[in-house]
Amino acid sequence: MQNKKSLLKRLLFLYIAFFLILVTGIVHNLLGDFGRGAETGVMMGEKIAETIQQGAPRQIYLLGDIHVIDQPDGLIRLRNGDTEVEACITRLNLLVDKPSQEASPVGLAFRSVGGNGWIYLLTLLIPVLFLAIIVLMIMIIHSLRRSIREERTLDRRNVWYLRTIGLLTIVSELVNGELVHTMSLRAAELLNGSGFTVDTAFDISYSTIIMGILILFSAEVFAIGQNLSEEQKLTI
Amino acid sequence: MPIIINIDVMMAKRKISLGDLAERVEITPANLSILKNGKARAIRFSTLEAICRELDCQPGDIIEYRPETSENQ
Repeated sequence: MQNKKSLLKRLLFLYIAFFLILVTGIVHNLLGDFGRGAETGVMMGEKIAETIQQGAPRQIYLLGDIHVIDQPDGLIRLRNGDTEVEACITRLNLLVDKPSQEASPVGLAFRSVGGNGWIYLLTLLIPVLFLAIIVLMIMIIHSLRRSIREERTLDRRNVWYLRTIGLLTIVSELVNGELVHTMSLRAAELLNGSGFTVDTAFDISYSTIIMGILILFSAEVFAIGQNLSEEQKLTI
Repeated sequence: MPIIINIDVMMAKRKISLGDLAERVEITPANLSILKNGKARAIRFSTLEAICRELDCQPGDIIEYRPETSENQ
């Protein structure tokens, strides 16, 4: 391979950029979100335990990040001298508290997100999918660096990694869309008549889906290249 | 694949080993073995020419078309 060194340098740059963005992203977004989530979780857990101890168990659950398209008139209006400020609420975090037939702490804990065990599992599935994508990205960059060193760039493993990353990207976005949609439907029921109008449309990030399709497309390009390379290798 | 490589028959007729032929044709013994075992996907004209020259034969002597029958399939 003639430009092996420059290819390795470019991949090293991508490797470093990927890790920098990963670490910055974790520190900037994930840790903050995780901290707030943990705080809310502990608060909800304590409340659930308290109601069980009192002999009147209550189901306490969270409906997070609900998209609101209309709000009651004059909800938040501030006047500071001759300046008037009107706040427009676009997202709501709802904490629902209702009597429960079930007294099992585990059952109540599993319904603490969205009021349903399936929603709780979907909430857990999304970080698992993202983690899998991150691990696969580390593996693919590592595999590319190794295959360039060994002069066989079009490795079957790379095609497999790319296909999996593309599929997981699309699946994670669809799962997230379904999660938000289900929670929005529930929130719409609860907020009926309150003046808030919840957006219950199935909303997904089309750019993420397009990115997933592009990754799948590049995996197919890799697969074609890999087949051509195999043909070339078996041409005597 | 209905294309059969009979290079081993010609090699036996000319009493030439795989290593010797590979050296004369200037390809690696591994590649000649791929060709001999019918694992190759294609053969270059230059390779075919060199093999025919060294084995003193025609391309038809080393490459044969045998249509696939339902039994073979």
